[in-house]
Amino acid sequence: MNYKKDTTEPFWWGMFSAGGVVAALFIPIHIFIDGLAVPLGLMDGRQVGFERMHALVAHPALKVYLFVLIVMPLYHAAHRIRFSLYELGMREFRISMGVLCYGGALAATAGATYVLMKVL
Amino acid sequence: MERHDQSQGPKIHRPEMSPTWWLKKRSYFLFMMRELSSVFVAAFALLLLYELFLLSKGPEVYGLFQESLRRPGFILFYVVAFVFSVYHTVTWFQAAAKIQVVKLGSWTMPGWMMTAGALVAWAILSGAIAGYFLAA
Repeated sequence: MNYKKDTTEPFWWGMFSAGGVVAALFIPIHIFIDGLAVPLGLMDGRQVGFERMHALVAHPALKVYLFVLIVMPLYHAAHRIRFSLYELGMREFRISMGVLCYGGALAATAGATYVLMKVL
Repeated sequence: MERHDQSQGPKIHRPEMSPTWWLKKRSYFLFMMRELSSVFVAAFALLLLYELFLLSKGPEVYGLFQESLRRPGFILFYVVAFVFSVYHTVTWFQAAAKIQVVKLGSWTMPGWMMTAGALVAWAILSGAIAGYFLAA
């Protein structure tokens, strides 16, 4: 019996794994800073205000940091969402689930590249 | 639609699962919550990207959106996303300790020690990032 080998799987699993590490280490504190520190009264909002953020993203190192912070967790999520949908009993659509999920992550990568390199 | 009928060789066994199988047992439910954490993590990543994009639209547009992020609906999102993201962190390092076994000579480091070490590193890193942003 011939099983179709999925030769791209190891690459996507690697991205899932690396993205999982980035998400585990960096995402909680950034959610906290971005959305909870001001309502909790720990900062007044100037720290994530226009002047400060605009000055920060001018620095190439911070751009690279933000790129990794945004993009890597998306590959992590794409992989988990793909397999969770299978686990919930969903079968392949006309466009495969892998194409939809990883394609979404790739599109967002292009978006992040555009925003960080061209727009800012 | 049956993709594998008998005429094309052996039938592949596809167990029938109800869409709510993960509600039947606590461990299944926690597994699904772990998977769901990635949805909130991704939603936050995209929100952050949108905020960065708005930086290019000038102080007024950016400022208005920042104000809307302080409304109850968004605060609720941040609270839920934060809880899920911490759940991801804890479960990720628990799984990592099972995958990456550390042996020093004849001594095998217990899994909990690996997880604890990673969580301490996470706490220190989070503190450093918070310090960087809060010190404005």
